[in-house]
Amino acid sequence: MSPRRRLDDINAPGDVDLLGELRRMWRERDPEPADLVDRITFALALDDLEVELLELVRDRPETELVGHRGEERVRTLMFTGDSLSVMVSITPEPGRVLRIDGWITDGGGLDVELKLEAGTRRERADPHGRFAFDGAEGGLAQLLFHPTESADRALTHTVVTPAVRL
Amino acid sequence: MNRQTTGTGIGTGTGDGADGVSGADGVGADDATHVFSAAAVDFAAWREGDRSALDRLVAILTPVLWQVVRAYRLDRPTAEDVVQATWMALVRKGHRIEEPQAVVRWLTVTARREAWRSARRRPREEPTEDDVLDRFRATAEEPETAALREGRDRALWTAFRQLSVRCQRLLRVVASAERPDYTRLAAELGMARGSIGPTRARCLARLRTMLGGMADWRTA
Repeated sequence: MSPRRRLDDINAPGDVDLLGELRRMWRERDPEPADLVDRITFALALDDLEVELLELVRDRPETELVGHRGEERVRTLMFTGDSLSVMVSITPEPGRVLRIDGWITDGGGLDVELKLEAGTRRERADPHGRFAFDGAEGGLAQLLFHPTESADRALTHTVVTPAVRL
Repeated sequence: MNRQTTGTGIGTGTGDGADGVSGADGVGADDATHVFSAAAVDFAAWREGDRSALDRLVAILTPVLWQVVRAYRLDRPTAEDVVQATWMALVRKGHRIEEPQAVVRWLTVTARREAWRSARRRPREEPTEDDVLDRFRATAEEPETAALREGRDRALWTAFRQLSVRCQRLLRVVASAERPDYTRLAAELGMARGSIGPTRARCLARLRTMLGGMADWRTA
């Protein structure tokens, strides 16, 4: 190979080969997560499509000392977007289910929907924006925040988190 | 961009020099035409009310969008978010796409814009990519071939990571686009349009020099 190829020759055969080699390497060695397609399909199965999607800004496993039971893994998720910020903590409960505690910033009175693979559950956030679901099965999950008339915040649309795997 | 009518060009290699090795997920560059055609069909069907067509579209194009987004040096969780956001945008605004054939272009442009926005919002210069090297062992093949290919890919990955940030981004963005739009790329990369070609050539030359010093690359 000539060391002094013309630099503007962007279709030099060696370059095309090397780029193809890189592309193949990325596709094979850095593929999308195995369940990403499932998560997206799950997240797109919404009745109302005029929604705002929050962004996952933190996903952290934390270990806490929980009384006599010793260490317990708590996972903390934080979502943020133009309309809302939400913090969620997920704690294992006996019987291989999970407890989900959440707090919506200035989100008192919003309706919170927990969408799981098995179905959905809905409750209203308290005046401080707190909500909780217990006995949730693992698997794909998504939270939806619906406007209500009594909410502190006048949402005009539903706000949703990305689908996450619990 | 792609004006192929549906049903043509399936399985005809366009010869991008990928050494006869196509991605296991079936979306190697050689299959680009097939992906474009299938996507146009599914998108049209979804707009006619076939819900399962959207699921097929997601399955076909998510691997493509993943590569587009990873080109922006986003860490994997952020890249996942950006790909999800891109699909969400399609569902909300897809009715504005006039021709079904334009859906791939619309999605990749949207993914780039979202990725670019995300990358600027969190200017992490060096995302942790060690997890990628950890997964290098995951491909199932004949042990001997696999070991050779693994060594070769490790060398390629390692050499690539030693390039300047500018070179890394340019090469991955260029390689991830089936048909790069150089005007848009120039704007995103903050370069003059005319300097993309020469810069690309220089970056590849540097990569080749580094690879020349790596035994795993030469022996494979």
